[in-house]
Amino acid sequence: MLKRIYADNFRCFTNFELRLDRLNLLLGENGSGKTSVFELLHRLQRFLGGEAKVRDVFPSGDLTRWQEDATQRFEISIAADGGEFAYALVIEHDAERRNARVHREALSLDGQPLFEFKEGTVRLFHDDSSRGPEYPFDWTQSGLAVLNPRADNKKLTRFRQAVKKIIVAGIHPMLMRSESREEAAQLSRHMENFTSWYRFASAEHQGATFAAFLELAQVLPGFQSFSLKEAGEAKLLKVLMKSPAAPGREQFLFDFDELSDGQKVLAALYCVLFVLRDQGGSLFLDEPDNFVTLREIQPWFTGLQDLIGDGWEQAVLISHHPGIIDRVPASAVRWFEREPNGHTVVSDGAKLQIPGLTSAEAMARGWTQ
Amino acid sequence: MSQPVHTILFCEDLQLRVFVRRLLLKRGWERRQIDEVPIPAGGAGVSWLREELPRQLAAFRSRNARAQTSLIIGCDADEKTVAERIAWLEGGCTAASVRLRAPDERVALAIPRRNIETWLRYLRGEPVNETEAFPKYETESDCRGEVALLSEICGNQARWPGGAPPDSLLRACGEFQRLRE
Repeated sequence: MLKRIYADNFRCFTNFELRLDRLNLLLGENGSGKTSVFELLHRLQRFLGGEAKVRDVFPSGDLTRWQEDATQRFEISIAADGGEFAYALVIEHDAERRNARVHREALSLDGQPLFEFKEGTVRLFHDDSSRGPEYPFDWTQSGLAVLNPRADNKKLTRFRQAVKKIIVAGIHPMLMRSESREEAAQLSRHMENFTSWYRFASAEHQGATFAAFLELAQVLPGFQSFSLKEAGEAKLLKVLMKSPAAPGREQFLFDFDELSDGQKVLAALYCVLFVLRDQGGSLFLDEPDNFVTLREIQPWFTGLQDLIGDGWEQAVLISHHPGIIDRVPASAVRWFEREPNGHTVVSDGAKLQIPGLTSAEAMARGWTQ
Repeated sequence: MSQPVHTILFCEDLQLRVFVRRLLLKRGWERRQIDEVPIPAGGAGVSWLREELPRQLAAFRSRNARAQTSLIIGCDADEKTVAERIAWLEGGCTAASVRLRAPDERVALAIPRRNIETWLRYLRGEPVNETEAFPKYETESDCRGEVALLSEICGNQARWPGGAPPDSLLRACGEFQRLRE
């Protein structure tokens, strides 16, 4: 579970800290920095996954405009296996040359160092905290990302697994396609790889996808199941629908592409819900209520709440929808606000607590200012 | 066996609402058969529930005339007895020229005394009384074990965990029978 995010000199974040619980709802005006939290987390995932160099993941253009400082700082804390990992990354930018390098990258568990990469030198520590080897390393990428799992660095490996199990996404149904060329273990930032992820999920979590079918059968009239059909080197996601209105030819196969935007979103929401129940992890979902009718929001959201109580680790949502806003306890709210073009400040949900009004009503009236 | 009908959960307390929702799901309700009345930010309290009750009853009766529906009203008894709490709710309805419920209406009252935590502690096997206020759980969903046990008790698959159950809990179990067709 991700417990803390800290950022300094990234977009609207200066000395910004966000503490999280098992269920959180990020609320605030447009442009207050909610989605930037998700973007930051996604970038840290990419960096720690070794997907790109630091200047590509954290371009100088994302330095806070009104700061002169060329140094960026990020920290995250993740609770796992009864301990708390603390990861820190310090980046030095050369804005003129559009370049950046890692000044410091460090990981510890409950205060005991596991890894440090500073000024071009990596220092490793064994799981028992004894000092391991030191060696020079490339300043332009994560030293942590390239380490191979070994018997004496299981803790470090556990941290990387925990980071991988965080899903950071928003659902953009217009980008979701039927065709998949390969399986994907992780959902992409806008779920454009939903079919590839479904290929993976349906193989690895068959029970979960079946449970999702049962739920979707109630949500999408006539829905029976998904299936994957060969199409040359690719696979196509098909939707089996049943129509009692056509006797003798009751079942129809549609392309996933043919579903409406709202139907695609519902399919994604329920598949994610049940697969995550199986595999664990944290879900950071940006505006899951987009495209979805009012009737469908509450059942999905209470399902999410109950799964968190049943062992699922964490859900952090961004929403502007009363169907969600009014259904979270005040303790789960993180309220984002900015001075005009200033930095983001986070507080609890106290500003939403206006006697006689729901949180959504308070927001709609602008009485949270 | 009779089937669950679409049910509106109208509770003043989040813990009570989570408890009842999970119990309904255990007892055969589908998630889409349950709708919850939002609670004002920062909690609502029994006064809000009493004020809002006539509106919820009107909506329920309007819908129930066309499709079978049930309404669960949930609030703590606090320092009152259950009978006193019901009378207090009835007083609010009378003032609004609305009847709390007819004998055959699917309107059930879930009124823990002193509060929902009394039921939860009892179901955990701890000694309780109905006058003492017990501390809240850290997270509302932490009640899943207690819900599972109560569901089994309702299905005659388990026994009460300790001494005699709180009267308010027994009374609420009787109310549960109102909800089905």
